[in-house]
Amino acid sequence: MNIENTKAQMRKGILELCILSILEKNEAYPSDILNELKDSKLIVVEGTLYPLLTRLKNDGLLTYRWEESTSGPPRKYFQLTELGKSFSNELDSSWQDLQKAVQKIRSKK
Amino acid sequence: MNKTVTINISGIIFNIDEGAYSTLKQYLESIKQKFGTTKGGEEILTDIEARIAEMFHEKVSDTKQVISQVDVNGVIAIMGQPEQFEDPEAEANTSYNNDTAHEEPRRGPRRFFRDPDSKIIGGVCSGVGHYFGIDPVIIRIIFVAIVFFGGSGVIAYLVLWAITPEAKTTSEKLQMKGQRVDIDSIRQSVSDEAGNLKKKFNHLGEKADEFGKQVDSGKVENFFTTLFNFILNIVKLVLTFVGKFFGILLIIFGGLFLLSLIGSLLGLGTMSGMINIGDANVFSLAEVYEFIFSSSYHRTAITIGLAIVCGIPVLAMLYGGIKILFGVKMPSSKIGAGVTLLWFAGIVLMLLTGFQIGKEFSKQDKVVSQFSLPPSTADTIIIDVNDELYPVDAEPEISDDYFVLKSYEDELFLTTVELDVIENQNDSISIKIIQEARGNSFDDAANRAENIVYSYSITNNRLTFDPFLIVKKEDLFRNQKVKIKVAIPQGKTVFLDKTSGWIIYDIKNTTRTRDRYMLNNYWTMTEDGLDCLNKDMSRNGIRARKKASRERASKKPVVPNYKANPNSTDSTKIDTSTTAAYVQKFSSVNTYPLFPTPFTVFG
Repeated sequence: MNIENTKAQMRKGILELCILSILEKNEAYPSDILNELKDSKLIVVEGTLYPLLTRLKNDGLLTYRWEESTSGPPRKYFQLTELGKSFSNELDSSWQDLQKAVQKIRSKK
Repeated sequence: MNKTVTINISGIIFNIDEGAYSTLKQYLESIKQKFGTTKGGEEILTDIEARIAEMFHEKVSDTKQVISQVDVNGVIAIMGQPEQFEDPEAEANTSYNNDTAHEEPRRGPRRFFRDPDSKIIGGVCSGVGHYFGIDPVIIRIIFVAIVFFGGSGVIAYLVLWAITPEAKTTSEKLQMKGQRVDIDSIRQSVSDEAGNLKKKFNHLGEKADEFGKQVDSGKVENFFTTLFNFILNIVKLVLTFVGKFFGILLIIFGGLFLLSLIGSLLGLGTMSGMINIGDANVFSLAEVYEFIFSSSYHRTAITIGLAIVCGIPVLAMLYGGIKILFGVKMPSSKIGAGVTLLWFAGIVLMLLTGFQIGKEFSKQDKVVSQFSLPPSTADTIIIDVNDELYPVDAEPEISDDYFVLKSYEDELFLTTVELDVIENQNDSISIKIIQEARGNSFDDAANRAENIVYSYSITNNRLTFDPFLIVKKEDLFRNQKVKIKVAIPQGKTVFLDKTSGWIIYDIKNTTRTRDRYMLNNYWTMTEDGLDCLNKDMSRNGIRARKKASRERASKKPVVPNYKANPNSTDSTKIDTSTTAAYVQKFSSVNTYPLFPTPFTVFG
């Protein structure tokens, strides 16, 4: 059993929830999302984000608009769709449940 | 000093060091590989490129205009290698698979490559092994085993080596071990295709509805485009199937022809595959060589010529089959041109040698011997063929062909014996034996004609001829012939025994009766020519007798004797009584009747 592998899997599980949570507050473009994720040490390499965003967008949870940038190519600003919002809420409640479950188990020790 | 390359990422231009450029290119290539097949892969790549452009943009300034290797390494470190990308979905899939059984991930269809990593000679066997999912050791054993079948394993190996590309890049190596090509994957691709067609068809239905509602010129064009595409897809599907089947056929027949060709050229016994088509005679090319080529130079030239002229199309067949089945490509088009050139060179070689050999057939000469029968001979002479003299082993194959070739102990037996019955102006019966042969000069031809061994015997009124002539091996086959003219005066009669069917050739007669019907009959020389006096031998006469004999046969009561023994079939029944009698008759002198009835004789 590789500890790094387990850690990575735990991170992966909640990554979607975190991205959706970030976007729930504000629309954002990938670098914004990356900065927040990096701050909370949730992401190791930036490359992870792009396939994830594309998939969420293709699943209809996200939508985006183009915005010109002064420093580089035009940026994709992502925001939640209605479906994305309900998806996010559902994930959030399941996260709460998980958290409670873990705490409950630990407190029994 | 470093050379720089100008690149365009997401529409922004950067100057980048050459080394850094190749690193970046490799990196993007590896990302493309990972996401190229997934849904939205193109978009992921574009997004990542945009991010890279952004990061590059932060690195350059008026004082630092060029992206360096360090910058690229930094960007790659931030973005991470594709295998470090943590995609929850992908993880979910693999963990699911881990729970059940370790399954090979689908990596697209498998292709046929040579494997340079585990090769012994050229990596062909390991490549074949990967393709069929078999241990290469087994493939190697099979190849070594078929080397002993006429060396075809070596040739197959060399052909595969020449036409199969080596798996050089990582993606080629992945394709080499890619998704198994088995019944399941074929079924999968067929059902995908069928699904596509169905979708297209439904689409077509909708289009047709629209078409009915509004006849708009643009829509009409669209409709026909869809219809055309639909038909094209069906045609493509059918062609793919036919193509694969054709490929298998090509390989099978190419392999067979190759084996036959090699066998014939090397003289490995009798290769029926090459020559024995239909009822033709069976002999190996090597056997023919012995009697046709006067010099080993001709022999070698013809062998090489044949190998090239026949071998190249055969190899091309094999190559075509492999190409269709495995999708391998010719390493270079120059090879194709070279091979075509070689083929023409082979043709030229064959033509030149053929011309030289042809010259050895250019002159014809003959030797004639003539004698008359004594006047005391009876008015009727009998012509038959000696069928007792020859040892069993020399049995020449019987055929209606112009001549039959068979060698026996350095002698060539030819059935080019022709007998004709003509009118003699004198009162005697005279026989003329003409021995003919060809050569590169008249002397040569005359010499060969002289050397022909041909025998016959005369006892009282019976003329017995040999059914074939013998040519010594050193004389070679130069179209040797024996022509016999039996000249009889008017009033004399000739009886053609049924064995003479082997040698009589186009004997003129008043009723224009064909040779086979002349047998077993008495023919008298009249003013007008040979005539059968006691029977109507005209076409109508023969027909009437045939009919009568059929009627007689049908009136005979049929005895259903086969019911007594259900195992015996009528077709295999042999009249053992007569065969036994023949064997008994000739076994005492250690000879054997060689010739069955040449023609069916109607009496």
